[in-house]
Amino acid sequence: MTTKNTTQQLCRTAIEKQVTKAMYVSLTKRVMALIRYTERNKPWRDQRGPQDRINGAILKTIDGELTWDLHAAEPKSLEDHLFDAVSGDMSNELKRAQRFRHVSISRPDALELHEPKMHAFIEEASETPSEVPGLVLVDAIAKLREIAHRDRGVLMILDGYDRGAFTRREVMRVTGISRSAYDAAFKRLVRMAAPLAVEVLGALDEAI
Amino acid sequence: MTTPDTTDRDLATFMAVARAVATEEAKHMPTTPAIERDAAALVMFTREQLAEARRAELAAQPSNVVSGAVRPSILAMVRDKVLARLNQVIAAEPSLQFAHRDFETASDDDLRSALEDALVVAGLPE
Repeated sequence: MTTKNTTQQLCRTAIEKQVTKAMYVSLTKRVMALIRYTERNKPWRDQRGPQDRINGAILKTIDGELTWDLHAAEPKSLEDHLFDAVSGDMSNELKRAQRFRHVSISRPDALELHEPKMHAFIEEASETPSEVPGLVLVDAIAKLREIAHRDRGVLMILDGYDRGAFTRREVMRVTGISRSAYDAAFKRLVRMAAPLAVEVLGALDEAI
Repeated sequence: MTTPDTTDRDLATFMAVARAVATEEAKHMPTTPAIERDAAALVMFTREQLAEARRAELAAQPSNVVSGAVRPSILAMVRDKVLARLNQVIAAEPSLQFAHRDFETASDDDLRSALEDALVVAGLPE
């Protein structure tokens, strides 16, 4: 008797093929760096740790709760799929926690206006460490746009992200940027965004 | 591709930049013994979960074990009819395996039992 291969069976077979210690070493590092970057840029503290987040993502994928599209035009590797899943979870946590208005660093007046609320919130958050502090103090992306205001390629990638295009192929399609221009601009974007937290926090100190 | 509202869009853009930066930073991160241990534990966890999912799936599948009971319609067949039907089933399902193929020397009961098993395994009607 033969058994039909269901989507979940195919997915499990693909997982089995790609699960290696090296893959998880790389993924763990990426998740650690993602948590660190988010913590640097948002008043958000990770309550779970990289391993728990990865465990959750793989479990949801095996159970079929999370779809790993193996038939996509450009199928993701298991590592990329799990990394995006972890990123999605963190994004949901940030979304749930956004209880206060978004305050841009380019508007110090607004920052001042919200300062008492911000302090009250930060106090409350520090007294209850299990809660995710949700106030978005700084518009990191607005700052990034400021830094990159003369870099057409970087701005095109950010525009692509704004329009919901997150892969190279999608960004190229919605913005019309060429592959080589994308690759070069993407490297510049990473270079600009990496030290952003330090600059933004410095600017914030000045503003306050 | 999605079309989120402004707040969601800002957050999605931030997360896309964060992923890009994190991926680059990870390339320069040293592999500590703690990361090695975590990775090994994740491999073990994944394999355990895969095995558990397979076990659960197998448990949910209908059993392939043949009960041994022969249906009344086969019990009512005469030997020649049982032999003829068995040969039809073998012709239709050549991959079927029989422990004993010398049907001529088999008893009537054994023949009926063989036909019952063959029909069940092949999923054929009488």
